[in-house]
Amino acid sequence: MKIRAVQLPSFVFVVAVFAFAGLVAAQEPAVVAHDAWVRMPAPSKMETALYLVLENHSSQPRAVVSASSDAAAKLEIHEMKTVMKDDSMGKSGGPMNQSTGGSDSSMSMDKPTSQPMMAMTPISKIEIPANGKITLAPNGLHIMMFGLKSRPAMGDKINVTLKLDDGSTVPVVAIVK
Amino acid sequence: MKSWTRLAALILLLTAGCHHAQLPVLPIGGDFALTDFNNQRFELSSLRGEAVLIFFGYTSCPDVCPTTLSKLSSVYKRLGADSPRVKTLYITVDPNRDTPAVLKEDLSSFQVDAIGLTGTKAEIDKVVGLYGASYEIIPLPDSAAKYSVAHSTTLYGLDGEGRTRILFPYGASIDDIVRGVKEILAPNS
Repeated sequence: MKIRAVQLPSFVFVVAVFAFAGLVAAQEPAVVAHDAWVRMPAPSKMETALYLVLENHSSQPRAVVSASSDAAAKLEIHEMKTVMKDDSMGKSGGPMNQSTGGSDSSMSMDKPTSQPMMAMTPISKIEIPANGKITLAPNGLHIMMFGLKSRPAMGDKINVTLKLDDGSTVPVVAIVK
Repeated sequence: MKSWTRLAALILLLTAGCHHAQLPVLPIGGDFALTDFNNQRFELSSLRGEAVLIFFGYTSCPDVCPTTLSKLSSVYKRLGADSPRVKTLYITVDPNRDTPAVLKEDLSSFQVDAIGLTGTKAEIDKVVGLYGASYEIIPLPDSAAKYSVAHSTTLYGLDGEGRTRILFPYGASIDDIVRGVKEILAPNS
C-alpha cells in the first residue's frame, strides 16, 4: 500500500520515539551504588575498608564478584562473622585467677568457657536480590582495599569499580571518613 | 546456664539502673606484666587507684577494634573531669605485626588515654587466659591480608585495685560504658 507523503513524517516520528525510549532503558544501570565511604586508614597501615549501599533495580538477582581501584593494589570482598573456639582456655590461655578479693566472694561463677570471636573472612561474592538492596557496613560485609598507593586525607574521594556476575560494572565514588 | 550468660546478666543488672547495688567482683582477671608501646615493661599493678578498661585486639583489624576505640573516644569525652582517672589497655593478640612502635602510632589516632601492650606469645596467652578471652590466627594464603585474627570483643572494666568489676559486651553503648565506668569510680563501688 502506498504511504501517503503526509503520513511518512508521523510514522518516522513514532519509530524514533520508541527507539529513543529503548535506548534510554538499555542505558539505565540495573545496579547502582550510593552512600559509599572508606574508613581513614590507621597511621601505620596502607589498607582500609570500603562500605556502601547497592541497589538492584532489575528483576534478576545480581552479585558483585570483584572490585578494583586505581587507588589501591588489590581489593577483596570480605565479611565479619562470629566464630567459636573449641577450647579457648586450653589453647590460648593460662590458668584462671580464681581470687575475687571482694565482698561478694559468695558469687560462685563457673570457669568461663570460650568466648565468641569476631573474624574477618574473604568471600567470593556479594549477592544483591532482584529489586532489592544490600548494605555493606561495619561489623558485616565490606570490601578491603590493600596497598593504598597514597595516604588519603579526610574528605578525599576514591573511585572504585565493582564487577558484577553478568560482566557489567558499577562505578563507586567513596568519601574518606 | 553458661558463665558468660551469667556475667552478661550482671551487665543487664547494671543497665537496669541499680545504681546503689555494689558492683560484684568478678572471678576473672588479675595482675599481669607485658611490654608497653614505649618498649618498657608494664605491670597492671602500676595503675592502682585508676579505673582500667582492657580490650584485646590487633591493629590490622578493619572493623571491631577501630569501632571500639572510636566508641571509647566518645566515652572519654563524656567522662569529662573523670577521664584522667581512667586508663585503657589495648592488648594485641597479633604480636607478630603489632610492635610497640606500630601500637603507639595507630593508637595515637584515637582520643583515648590508652596504652598499647604486646609481648611474647606466651605472655599474651597468659593474660588472655586470665581474662577468659579468646583469639585464633586464621591463615588466609590467598588474601593480601596473609592472615586474620579472630578475637573476642569483651571490654573489661577494672577498679582501682585491679579487680574486674564489669564486662561490657561489644554492643554496649557509649552510655552503658560511661555509666559503668562511673559506677567503678564511685567511692563505695
